[in-house]
Amino acid sequence: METVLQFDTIDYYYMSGEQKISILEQASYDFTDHKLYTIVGPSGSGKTTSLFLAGALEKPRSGRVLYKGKDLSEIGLNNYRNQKIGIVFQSYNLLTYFTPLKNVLAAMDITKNNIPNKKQRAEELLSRMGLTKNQINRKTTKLSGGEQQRVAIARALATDAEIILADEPTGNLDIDTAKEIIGLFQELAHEYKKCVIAVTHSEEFANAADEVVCLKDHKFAKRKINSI
Amino acid sequence: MNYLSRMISSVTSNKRNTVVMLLVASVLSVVLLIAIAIRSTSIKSVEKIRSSMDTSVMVRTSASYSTDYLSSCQIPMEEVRKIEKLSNVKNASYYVRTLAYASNFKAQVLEAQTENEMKKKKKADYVPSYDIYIQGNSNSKDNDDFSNMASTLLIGKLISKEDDHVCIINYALAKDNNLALEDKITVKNAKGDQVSLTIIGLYYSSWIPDEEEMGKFDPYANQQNTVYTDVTSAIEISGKDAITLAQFGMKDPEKNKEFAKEVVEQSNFAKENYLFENQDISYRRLANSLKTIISITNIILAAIMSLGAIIITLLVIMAMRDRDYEIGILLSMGEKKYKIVLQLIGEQLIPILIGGFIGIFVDLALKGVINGCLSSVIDMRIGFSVGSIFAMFGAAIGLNVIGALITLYKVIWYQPRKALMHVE
Repeated sequence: METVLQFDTIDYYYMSGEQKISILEQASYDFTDHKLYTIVGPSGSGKTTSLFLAGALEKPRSGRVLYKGKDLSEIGLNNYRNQKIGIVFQSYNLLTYFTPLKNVLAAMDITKNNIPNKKQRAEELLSRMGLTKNQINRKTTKLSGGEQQRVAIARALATDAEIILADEPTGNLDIDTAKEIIGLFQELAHEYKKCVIAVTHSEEFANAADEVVCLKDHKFAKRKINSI
Repeated sequence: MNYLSRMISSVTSNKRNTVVMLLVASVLSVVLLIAIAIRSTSIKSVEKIRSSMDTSVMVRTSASYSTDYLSSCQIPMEEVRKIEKLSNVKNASYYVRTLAYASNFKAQVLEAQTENEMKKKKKADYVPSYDIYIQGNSNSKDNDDFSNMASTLLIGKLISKEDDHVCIINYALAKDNNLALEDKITVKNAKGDQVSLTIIGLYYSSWIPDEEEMGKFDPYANQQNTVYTDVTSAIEISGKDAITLAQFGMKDPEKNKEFAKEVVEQSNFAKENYLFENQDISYRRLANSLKTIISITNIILAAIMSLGAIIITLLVIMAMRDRDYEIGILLSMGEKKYKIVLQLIGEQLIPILIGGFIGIFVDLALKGVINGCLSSVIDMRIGFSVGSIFAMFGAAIGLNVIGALITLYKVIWYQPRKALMHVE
């Protein structure tokens, strides 16, 4: 297991008028591959901020986010996003004017990673996520929530990214579908050997994780480690 | 390219926005193309008449208006030659008037005039009255007497620029003196200088003298005693190297006023001595009506562009309102901002360009109707040239400048936090 992502003494705050609202203060944590992490904490504790920092969609006010020991700014934020990570959002974040297949292909076109036989690989990924050939060529808006989330996961995997970030991936799903998606995330970590970091309010999801990271007093803390 | 594929898919999937934009763009294109075509046709017409219509500027002095013919030669030839070389001068014709005495022939003198002369002779300071009125022209056609038919050529030919030491005399004068074509007459000035002129034409004048009235004047005032000659001879007779007035044909009628300034700046002649008369009424009449059309179409174009820009900007704002999330998705996938900008601007331009083509087809199909309407109002027929079509496309794309800037601003200043955060 290798440490792929590090938060190194991160400070993050935002200004509300004259007032400084602190989200993270000197927060540090290491994330390794082969593991499913969930980040939990009360609303406003900085869960999504942490995810955005990990996804280079936000910059820390001080401190560093490191990918395999390298500062993200050294790698280039764009390069990091299109090569090293895949992000799954609560609202699936699919391009509605593309079919599921084209959504996955779009991610492959954007990434600078060399991906041979793109169409075949996309079809395979979607098939592994449980989607039929009919479904992958249908309009995304015609799919159910669970199916759309599977497409989003397939798209996150399509670029061969090492880190999968997920922001409340089961938030819009019913219990049964949520269970299936949780199972998929476990598969991503254990079989695909990804570093999977998911922000969640779901206790069930938290319990399914290998490591639960708690946000408390503006810092990361291990709440529990489950054996793999 | 991925963003091109996204652009086309987005346009085809968002049918409502696309159709609205297409309709707006088509209507704007139809009107823009007609206005541009009218403007273009008007500009070409102005250019055509500007280059083809003859205009001139008459340069004279106040003395040329007086009846003191002897002092009316005021513009020195040295100055005239300078003016001839100015850039806007196409050609020049000159006019000289002076008085002389008949030398080897007799002028037509009325009895009353003879009596007056006899009375004058008795005075100590007697100076013989002039009996010949000399009019020198570069070209007799430019002389008002011939153009107004006060004098009509009976036999022979009119004087032209190449002629030298020639004249056209009155038929009655010729008859009284037994003169015919090719005969030479001699006139002299007050200094006694004699100038010989060959008769190349005889003219008829309808002037009938009122004996009583004409008795008050010297014999030169009798129409029959007017001798038309070339400019060189007239200058020689006057004894001054100067002319009475000059008419300069202008290359560009729009520069006539500039010409007048140049004459005053470059001339050594006293500035206040020059009078300028623009001989360009016909040009002004035609050009001004076309320029009015150009001004009106400019106003219409400005109005269409303003209104069109507002409408298209509003449509872009409405379309962009719901794109925050999509921009966030693309950025989270690692897409470059400039490609997102290109995609979004491309989505705006596709219906504008298609609308432009629709506009062209509509205008071409209705060309006859459009020209019919125009003919009844401004007597003009328009065509849709390649230049007009390109200008229309340029204007139509220009309508989206603000929309493009809004798009650029939106993507560059994008806040992923606001757009991508999940809703509790």
